[in-house]
Amino acid sequence: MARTFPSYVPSSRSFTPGEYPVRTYRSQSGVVSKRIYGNKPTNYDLQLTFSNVDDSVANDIVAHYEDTAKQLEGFNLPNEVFGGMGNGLQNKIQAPSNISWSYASPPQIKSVFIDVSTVEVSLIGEINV
Amino acid sequence: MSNLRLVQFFDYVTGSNPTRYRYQNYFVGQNKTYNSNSYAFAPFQSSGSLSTLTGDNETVTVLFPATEYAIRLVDASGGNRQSELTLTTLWLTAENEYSSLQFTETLIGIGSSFDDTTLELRFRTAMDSVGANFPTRTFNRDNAGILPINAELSLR
Repeated sequence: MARTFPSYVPSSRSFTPGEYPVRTYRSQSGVVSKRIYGNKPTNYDLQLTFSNVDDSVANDIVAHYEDTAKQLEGFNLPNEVFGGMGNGLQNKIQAPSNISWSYASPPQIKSVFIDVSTVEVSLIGEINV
Repeated sequence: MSNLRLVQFFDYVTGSNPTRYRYQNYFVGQNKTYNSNSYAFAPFQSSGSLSTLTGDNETVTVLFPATEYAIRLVDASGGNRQSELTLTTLWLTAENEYSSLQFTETLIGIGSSFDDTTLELRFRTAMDSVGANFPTRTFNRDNAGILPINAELSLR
């Protein structure tokens, strides 16, 4: 497991739970049959935005991205990422069963002022056995 | 609406110096017991037809990600030419319990292929149709001797 995501509280979070691997067959009569291929959901999605933060924060996030990208390993999310969130919901998002978090795409950094940036991070939670 | 929950049990035996490998493809990260044997999880999928009206075999393929254990399978069976596979497909209930509906096929390995991410094992059913060349045999070094490297064969 790669090193934990940097401990900063995001300005906003967006979370989508995982889905079960299902394929749907729709017959010409309109009857739908579904086949499920596994007993665990996957493809969790978590979007984090760090608005108007010091460039050192952006630098830490990019450094973390570079470390984990070259190792192709998932990582843990610290409690700070879920600052202000209820415990029950945090537990569901922070460590779903059998799921490890990784970057879905490189972090996006927008410079907004001298030494101030907005960082958008897109994470994906996938089954890693 | 009809829903399908299927688990496949992959019971693989290599021919020379027999070693058995057992995997299932539904219960992620779990070992499952079936017929008193334990099956580890492996993310494989199978496809192909098992029989036709005329009885001639068609290929059944089992696709694995090209991971260490899958490569070990191929290595142990001489490129999947010395193997036997018992592939059981079993229907599950909505609670993921085994149902009584299932079918089992016994297959023999006829080769393998791979690319940068996947490893494909090819099989045929153990019994072939009766024909002029019965029993159907796969061309290998045992029935042709040592082959030249450039493969230019002259049959006389």
